[in-house]
Amino acid sequence: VTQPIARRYVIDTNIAVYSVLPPETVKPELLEFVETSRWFMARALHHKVEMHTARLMLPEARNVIYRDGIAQGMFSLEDGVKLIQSIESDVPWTWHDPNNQQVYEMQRTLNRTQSTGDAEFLAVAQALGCPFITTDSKLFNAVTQYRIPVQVILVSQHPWSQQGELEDNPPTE
Amino acid sequence: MDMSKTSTISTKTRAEALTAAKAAPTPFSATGQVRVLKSGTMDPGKAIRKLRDK
Repeated sequence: VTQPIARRYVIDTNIAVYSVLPPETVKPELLEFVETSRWFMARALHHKVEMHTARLMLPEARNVIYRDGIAQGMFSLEDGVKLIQSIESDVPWTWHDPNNQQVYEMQRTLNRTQSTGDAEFLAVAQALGCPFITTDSKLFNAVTQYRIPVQVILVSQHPWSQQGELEDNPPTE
Repeated sequence: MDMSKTSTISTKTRAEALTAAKAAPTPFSATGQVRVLKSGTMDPGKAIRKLRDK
């Protein structure tokens, strides 16, 4: 059975960051995430699907690009600014502030006592009723374990993450 | 154990992975404009996980 391909997605911070980073900066064993995230994002744009994310995405991406990139001497501050501005502007994001109650209820269902970061994204996906795309297998497993009513897709399992032509696999639903 | 052989296989695999990653299209215009000063240590997935596990 071929998995239906949606017309809108909630996209995790890790997908945006893996997509924007020059591959040479990423640990070699993680290059598959760069490749699959880039293909997914490129196809999502090509097929003009709705690309949603939580407002938290930008500060999370800014944090990682500064702390692990600029501060570690991977690239200059000016180039780090270019990367974060590119994430902010090059994709027609629809930004969401999720409902407070939905975030807290999601956090409780996830049985988490830490940061509400995961719950922010899952609450957006739940409210929109669309899939959430991530590279994070820990989050994927938590959603399965706690039977969260959100479809979470690991990017490498989505047909758009594979090599091919941009027009491959248009949305089916 | 033939370490040189292991190293060769490993290096080739990483080189192929780098080629595939570079060949993948990116929607972000800044990627190709950045001058990389140091290579191969970023783990964005782990970094984001750390932020959310605090």
